[in-house]
Amino acid sequence: MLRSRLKAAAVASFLLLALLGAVAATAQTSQPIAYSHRVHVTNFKIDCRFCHSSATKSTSAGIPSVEKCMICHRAIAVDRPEVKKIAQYWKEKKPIPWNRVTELPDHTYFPHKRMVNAGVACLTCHPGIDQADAAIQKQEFTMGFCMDCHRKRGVSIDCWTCHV
Amino acid sequence: MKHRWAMAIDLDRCTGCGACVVACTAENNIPVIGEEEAAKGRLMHWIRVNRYWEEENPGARATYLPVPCQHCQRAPCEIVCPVYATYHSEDGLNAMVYNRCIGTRYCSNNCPYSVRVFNWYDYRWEKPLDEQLSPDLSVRSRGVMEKCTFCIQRIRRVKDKAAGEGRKIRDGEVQPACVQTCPPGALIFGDLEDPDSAISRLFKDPRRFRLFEHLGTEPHVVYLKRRKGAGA
Amino acid sequence: MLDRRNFLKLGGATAFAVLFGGCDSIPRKIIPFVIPPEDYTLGESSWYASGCRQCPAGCGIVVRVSEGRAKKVEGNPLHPVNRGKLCARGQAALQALYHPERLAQPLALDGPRGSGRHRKISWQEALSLLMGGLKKAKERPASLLMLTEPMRGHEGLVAGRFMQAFGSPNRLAWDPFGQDAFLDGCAAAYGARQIPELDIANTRYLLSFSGDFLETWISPVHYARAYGAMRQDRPTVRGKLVHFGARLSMTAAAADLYLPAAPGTEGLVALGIAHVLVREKLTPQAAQAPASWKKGLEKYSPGAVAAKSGVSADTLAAVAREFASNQPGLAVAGTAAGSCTNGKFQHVAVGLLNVLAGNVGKEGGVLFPDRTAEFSRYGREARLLAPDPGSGYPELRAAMERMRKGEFRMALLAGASNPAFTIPPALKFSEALLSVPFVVSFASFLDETSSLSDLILPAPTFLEAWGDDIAPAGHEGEAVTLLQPVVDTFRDTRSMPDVLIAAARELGGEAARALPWGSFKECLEKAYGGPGGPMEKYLQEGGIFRGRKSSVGRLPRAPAKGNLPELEEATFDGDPAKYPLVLHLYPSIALYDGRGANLSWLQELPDPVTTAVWRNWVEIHPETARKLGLSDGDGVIVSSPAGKIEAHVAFHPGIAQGVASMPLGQGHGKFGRNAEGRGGNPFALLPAAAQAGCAGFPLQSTRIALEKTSMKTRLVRTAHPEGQWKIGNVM
Repeated sequence: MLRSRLKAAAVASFLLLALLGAVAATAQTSQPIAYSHRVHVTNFKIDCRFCHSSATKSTSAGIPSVEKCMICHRAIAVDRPEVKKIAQYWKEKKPIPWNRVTELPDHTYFPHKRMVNAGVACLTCHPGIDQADAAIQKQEFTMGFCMDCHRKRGVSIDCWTCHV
Repeated sequence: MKHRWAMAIDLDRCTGCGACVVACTAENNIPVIGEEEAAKGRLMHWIRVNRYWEEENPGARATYLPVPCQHCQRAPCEIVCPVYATYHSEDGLNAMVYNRCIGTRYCSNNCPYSVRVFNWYDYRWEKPLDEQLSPDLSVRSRGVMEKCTFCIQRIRRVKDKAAGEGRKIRDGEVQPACVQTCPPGALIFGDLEDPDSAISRLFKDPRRFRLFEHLGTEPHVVYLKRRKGAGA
Repeated sequence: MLDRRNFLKLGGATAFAVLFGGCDSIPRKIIPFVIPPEDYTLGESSWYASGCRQCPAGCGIVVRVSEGRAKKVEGNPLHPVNRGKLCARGQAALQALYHPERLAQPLALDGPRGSGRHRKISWQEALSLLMGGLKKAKERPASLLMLTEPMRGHEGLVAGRFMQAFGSPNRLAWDPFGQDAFLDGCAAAYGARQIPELDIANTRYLLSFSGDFLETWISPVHYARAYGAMRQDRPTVRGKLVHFGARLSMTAAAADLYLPAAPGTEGLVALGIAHVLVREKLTPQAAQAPASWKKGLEKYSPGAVAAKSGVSADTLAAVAREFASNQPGLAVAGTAAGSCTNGKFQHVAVGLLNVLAGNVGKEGGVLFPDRTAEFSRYGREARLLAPDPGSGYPELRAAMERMRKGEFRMALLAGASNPAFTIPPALKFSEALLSVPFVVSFASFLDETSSLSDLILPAPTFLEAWGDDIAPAGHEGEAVTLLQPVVDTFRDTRSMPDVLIAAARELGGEAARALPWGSFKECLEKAYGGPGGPMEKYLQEGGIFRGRKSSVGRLPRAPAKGNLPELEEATFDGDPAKYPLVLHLYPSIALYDGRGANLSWLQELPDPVTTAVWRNWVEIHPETARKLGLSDGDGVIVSSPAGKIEAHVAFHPGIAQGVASMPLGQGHGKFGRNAEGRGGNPFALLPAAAQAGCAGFPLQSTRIALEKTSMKTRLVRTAHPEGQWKIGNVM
């Protein structure tokens, strides 16, 4: 689709999702804000796609913008110390520098939209994230893990489906 | 949905301008190697334009022949790879899996069309030239073979789009970078599984021939001979 | 980081776990937006429409942008000039955008003038230096000189109005491949001084007289698209291409019949064909030709033409008959014919064939649409927005005289035509420029010209700038291209029109009234009705495309009867005894006039004829080489009466004996790592003396001698120097 840049705001610089190596499965990563998936997903029943809104339309699921956090946290739980940190980022108009938790192996193409739109539940690949107080990658993305699912669902297991 | 991707190259249209070569370089993260390496015959282009001389002046002629990977049905490169890094994809493409490649270069040695290129070094993109790198495909590292993929990332983009809209892929919707840019329209791409596609018609064109047909490699690239004569 | 080969060397699962564990200790950030831009989906790319400025053809482009970075340039499918297609140079625009050597900050001279030594300064300081210079020049307004490449669209309006309001008439545009001879030829042959639309797509018989319309001439992508259509788009008709010329070029290679003709005799050959058409009354127009034409053409019988041109009389007559019986036909002359000293004559003679065949104003022939209609609301100022595509050579020569006399106090330079590189050094452009006390350049790179300046203002590339454009060919007056920044500039640049608008505001008075906008973007918004107006849609589509008009354009008045062109012979500088070879210069398909030489994709694109990369060469016939005792790849000193350069010999079986040819574009002394040290600059061989009667910049105007020398470099070619194996073997 052709678009005009008349309205489009400045596109902030964005780190490309660096595709590097595999990942050790258990190491917990410290984050600038102690965000809890458990509170948001399990306690308040917020759909994953509310925050990770590009999961249905893009290769990347997306990390919510500070603006999106503030939709709720302008009014909700504003006195909590961690929420105050969000407000501070918002006030300074600075992005939150989250640390990457989930790693995709090298030379791999993984379009979220294809999985999500085919009805693969988020928890299939991100098990336990709904119960986690600190985000952690419990499932290592080995080729066997991917292939099991592809075989079960009868979708392509051609090398070029994922590796380019 | 089954596909069999194929390309036709109309030599009656090709002018030899090289737009395909640079379009491919831009699309596929192909490194620039410099004069010294080029002197060793190591150009990394996935498509090249051969130029053939015939006779000398007066009466000299030149003919151009763009040569991408021929995506052979019976590919000589596939059978010699000890680690199955090159194989035949379900869409009939001759595929290369970088993760598996250990750099024996047997495949390139066995390719009659010399279309496979080898990463002799880890080629670098000086900052900020790396900003241009396509996020759709990897930057290959030292010791890995690479070659034309018929722009698999562009095929996939169209597949994704068609799947999202719940429809079949339209004829002419998939265009590798070289086909997309070719000014005189000498390159035509399509799906042989679709009997009504332009490519299916061109595969029956009386002008068709394939490179080194006698080798029996059954390429998925067919060439259309230049025609002679005025008016009609 | 661990690569696969090391992994294989190590083997075993334990090593795998340990090493990858180490890898993970490097923290990696993922940074979300504070406020996501509208219409933005993370990870998905957008396409933005704009216009290409890699050469003056004016194609439309769309650019794929992902995460705020431009990834790929493609032709705009909606644009009438190129309909989705793009050439190698257009594809390489991304390398200019992300070039490591781009100017990021204003520079001020830091050393003797012309030393090329500069220091970085702030924009504030730069603008105050600029204003200081302008205010001083204002005391004598005509002492301000502006020298740019031809500027089209509102950029031209801003520059033109600025100079007018400033009070200086000294605004020059320089294009070494300007179309002076073609324009003069069209005026004489058709009575219309404009670039006609050549309807190659619908022609049945195309006569090319050293035509290079598939390579670099005027609008190569448009012509190549039409050429493909001429060959194969019509179910029962396949157009034939016959090429006359001294060199088997890429366009000649596409021809069904290539007929070598001596340099500068293209027009004579055309008169020979005209002779046959008239003598044998092959077309209605030829049969009714005025008596004076019949009489005038008598002396150009195929036999007489053959003696001078080398094209055999029988072949010439056969081509004339075939041309007449396959109408509509079209005759076109290209750079090599038009840049001889008799360039105008050659274009008139070739135009005569279109007149005799009755193809003027007809489909498949030459058409004359009013391409500037879109700007007619500007009245007399329309010429500022759509100038003639001339070279500006005579004006520039005159201006250089005045520079030396000290008539100018300040010069503003801009554009890619790089006069310090493209003006023959024998004319001493650099010296003349340095006699102007204050020289300011708007430039994206340091090149031969900008590095001479006292002040360099970094300019954005066209992918980061606002603008509009009107293509010189390929549409019927219905197309204006709009350029928009497809990515945000990440260098601290300001475009020339923006700086001129700001300067005018500061100067006040008439200048401020002439340029009443806050920025160049605002100027375009006023002109096209943005934002919220129609401009939004124009930007989405890449311009204003009104679709094909019902008429094929206004018909020029019939050429004056009895206006038969008088034969003029091309002259070449130098004594044939001392300089035995005629030099044939042509624009490189990759580097154009040299502006592409700093882009590595273009340096590494094998030349279509020699397949050489990264270096320049001189092409000669193997037989010529044998006589001179030269082998393929040898280093030679190429010397003309005006200058000497070094090059490697490349055998070319398709070039006339007694002719040597060289591509233009290499030989930079100052244009960054990719461009420097790639051989000599062939512009340096051209004579300084003005060529009497020559309409523009005479590229074909000298003889040369070759002398063997030893060189440390070698010429790298992708094909074997002796040629590829015969095509019959692969078919």
